[in-house]
Amino acid sequence: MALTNPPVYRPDLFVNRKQEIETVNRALQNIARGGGDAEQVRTIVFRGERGLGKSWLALHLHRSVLREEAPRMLPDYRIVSLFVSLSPPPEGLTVDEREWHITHDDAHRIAGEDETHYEALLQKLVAWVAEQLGITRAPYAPVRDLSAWLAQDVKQKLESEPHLVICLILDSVFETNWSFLDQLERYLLAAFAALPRILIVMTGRGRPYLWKSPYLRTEREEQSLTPFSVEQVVEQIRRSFGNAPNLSPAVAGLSDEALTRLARRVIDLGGGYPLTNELLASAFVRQALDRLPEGGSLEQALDRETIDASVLENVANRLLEVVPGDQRHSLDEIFNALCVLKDGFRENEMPYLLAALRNTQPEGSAYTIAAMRELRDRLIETNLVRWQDKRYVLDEAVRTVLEQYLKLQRRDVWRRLHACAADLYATWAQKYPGSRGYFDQRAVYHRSILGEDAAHSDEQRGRSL
Amino acid sequence: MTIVNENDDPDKRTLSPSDWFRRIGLRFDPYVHLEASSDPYLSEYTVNLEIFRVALDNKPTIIVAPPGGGKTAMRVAVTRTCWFDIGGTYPFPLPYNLGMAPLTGKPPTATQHLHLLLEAGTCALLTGLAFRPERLLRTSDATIRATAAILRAGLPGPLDYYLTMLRETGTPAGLTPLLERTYALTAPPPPDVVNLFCNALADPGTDAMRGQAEDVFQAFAETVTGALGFSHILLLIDGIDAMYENQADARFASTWVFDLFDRAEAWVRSNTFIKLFIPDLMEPAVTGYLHHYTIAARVAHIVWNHDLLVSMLRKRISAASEERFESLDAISTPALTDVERQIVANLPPLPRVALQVTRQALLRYAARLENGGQLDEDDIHHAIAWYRHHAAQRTQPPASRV
Repeated sequence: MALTNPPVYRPDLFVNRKQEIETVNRALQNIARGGGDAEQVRTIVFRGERGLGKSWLALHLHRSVLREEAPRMLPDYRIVSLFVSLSPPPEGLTVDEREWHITHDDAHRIAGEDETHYEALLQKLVAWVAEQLGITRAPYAPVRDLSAWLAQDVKQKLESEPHLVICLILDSVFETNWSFLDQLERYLLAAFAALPRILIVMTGRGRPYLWKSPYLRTEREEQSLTPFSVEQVVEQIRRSFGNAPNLSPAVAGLSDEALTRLARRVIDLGGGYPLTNELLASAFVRQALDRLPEGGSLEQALDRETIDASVLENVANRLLEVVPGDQRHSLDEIFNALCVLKDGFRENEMPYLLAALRNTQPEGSAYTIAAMRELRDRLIETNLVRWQDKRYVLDEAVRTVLEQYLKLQRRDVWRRLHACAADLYATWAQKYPGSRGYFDQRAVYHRSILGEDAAHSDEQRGRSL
Repeated sequence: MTIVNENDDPDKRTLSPSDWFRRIGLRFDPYVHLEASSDPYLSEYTVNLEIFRVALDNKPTIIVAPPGGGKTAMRVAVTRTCWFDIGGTYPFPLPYNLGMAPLTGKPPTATQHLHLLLEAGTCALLTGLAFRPERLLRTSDATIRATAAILRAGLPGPLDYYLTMLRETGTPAGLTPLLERTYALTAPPPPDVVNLFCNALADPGTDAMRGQAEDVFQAFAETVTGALGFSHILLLIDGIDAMYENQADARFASTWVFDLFDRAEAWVRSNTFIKLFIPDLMEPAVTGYLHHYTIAARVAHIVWNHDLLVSMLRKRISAASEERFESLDAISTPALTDVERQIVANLPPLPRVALQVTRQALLRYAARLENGGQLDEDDIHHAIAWYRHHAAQRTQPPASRV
């Protein structure tokens, strides 16, 4: 079953993120009123996995919070918000006032490390920022000149307008090529970070970039976005269904209880990540509507509905579309092999799991440490794998869907991978007494997954008899 | 890869860094630079950010650390950070190395300090502006002429000599070793802009500014924090413990900076702030003097503990691997976890020692990279044993001649 496209951002579809909005409002108030307080937060970083709503949050801050809420909170201040997205706008999104979105061509050239193009692109961006702030001098001057002028002109503007607060929102930062970020910081961010009454908000996924400016490193608050709760998923799908074109009126009439049951199943399958929620809930409903007999109850049909493996496969494909096309096929296998390792992995586990997926032994040149390191680096380049707290972790939104798909579609492989992990950790617990506690715990986890599955299968077999 | 094994001693091996570090996923050797000014990546892995902020802000400050405790690294990192962007409002770093003062055996007088500061300041300004000419070129003709006059008054050689060199090479990189070593900045301008910069400063009608050193320094401070757009000036004073005559007697060494502190309050009014980097042995003498003469200055300590050392080692591996991994755990056997903590737990809490030992462990591992394998417990144990062996040798009394 083909998936419908998720809706593009609209303020009336936005749910949750009260805490994040409060963080921005608080920082804004402190910046506006706090003078030169060294403890001020002047950079906020929102991090999160694929499909967690980072871009929606960034747009919501720009289009709603900073235009409507914040001016009410700081009536004596003029708040100017600038939105810069380093990923191209999704199809259907109308570019609004004071928004700069990178084009597909520019994004492609940055991803391809076309460094000759960086200066031209940053020249356009810095000139755009100057224009938005009403301090344009020579828009076609080289970026180095523009940057030198911009820093001093913005400083003078802030001095001459003591009630001006500028908020620069940058979306999809860490996913962008790092050599481009080096220049973005040099020509724009470093200067802005050192000025008073400027708040910088960034969103990003994957490895966080190491900024050089101490102001971007010390006066900052970092928050990880979390998946939605059941109530939030209910609210999300209620709003989404209410605005979806071509959906049966029966959908709008679904009771709170039915939506809650649906939300629970969506979370079980996808983990509560907004993009996944949208895709799964929509697929559930459309699947149920397709199979609904005339006069039948949609609520009952929804409760009976089990998701098709093809839907999960499509969701996984959608989540993995950030992986460059030429890499996708070759990385699919390792993503599948590692998706059972909920607690993360080091290079040590990789050959065993990969061999288990292939139903072979981890022997030969394809399984050497050098080969695993090369594979690891390619995984990291996707920004769907990162080092976190002593181990690599797969982006949890992606991992959850991949494991669910594997379990549904290739149960034998899924069991083999868990069995491999259980045996491996049990062996290491014996072999490495210094880390026995940790490895034992992992072995128990994988055994318990297999045990639960066996019990579940027995139960189903019993029912069918 | 070139590996020469000599009695299995990692210290004696010669390796080609471009090869083996790349093979473990690093773009450079993160533990090789024990001397901060030669480390091009220093600002990428600064830890101790609280002290970093203190070193940057607009308050006179004494920054205290033990020898090998990262004073120079901090000073160099501050310098490069201030010049990272093109023309913003960061402070102007003026590195004043007392180790470069004339070898008279006596502390410089107040006037000598001013002359030396002016020389150091103009050396730094010319080098910095050569890397960021846009900062000068955006100003008025009057500012450019005033800057040229100050440079002519303070530089150790004729301004035209440096400008000719710049024109000929087309890059400011040649000025760094000549004028100010810590100003090894990145992102130089294109040659045509370097040429424009030289032409702007080379106005033949501009003579060296005349007057007392104090007046010239005041003009320097006003230009730097005025038209050139820096927020304030940091007098980064270091090297007091580098001189032979100062090493034995902390009280004597302290007298080298007393005259500077006598001017601290006047400098504050010109947006110029002393940041004095001293070894811990000198702290009582310096703070005693300040207390006695009620001179306001904050004292900050660079304190290394095991947590901070672990963080330093990890920040370096993180920067070298472009954040692919933040710990050597990533390339270790399953038996090995918390590698950095295992290393520092057995060492004195000094960054230089932690860097040396970690590098030894990596060198030992690198020697068997061709056979595959991972960093293991033996590598760590050998590196620590290597350090203990050398430390013991250093503390042993010389052999008796009897």
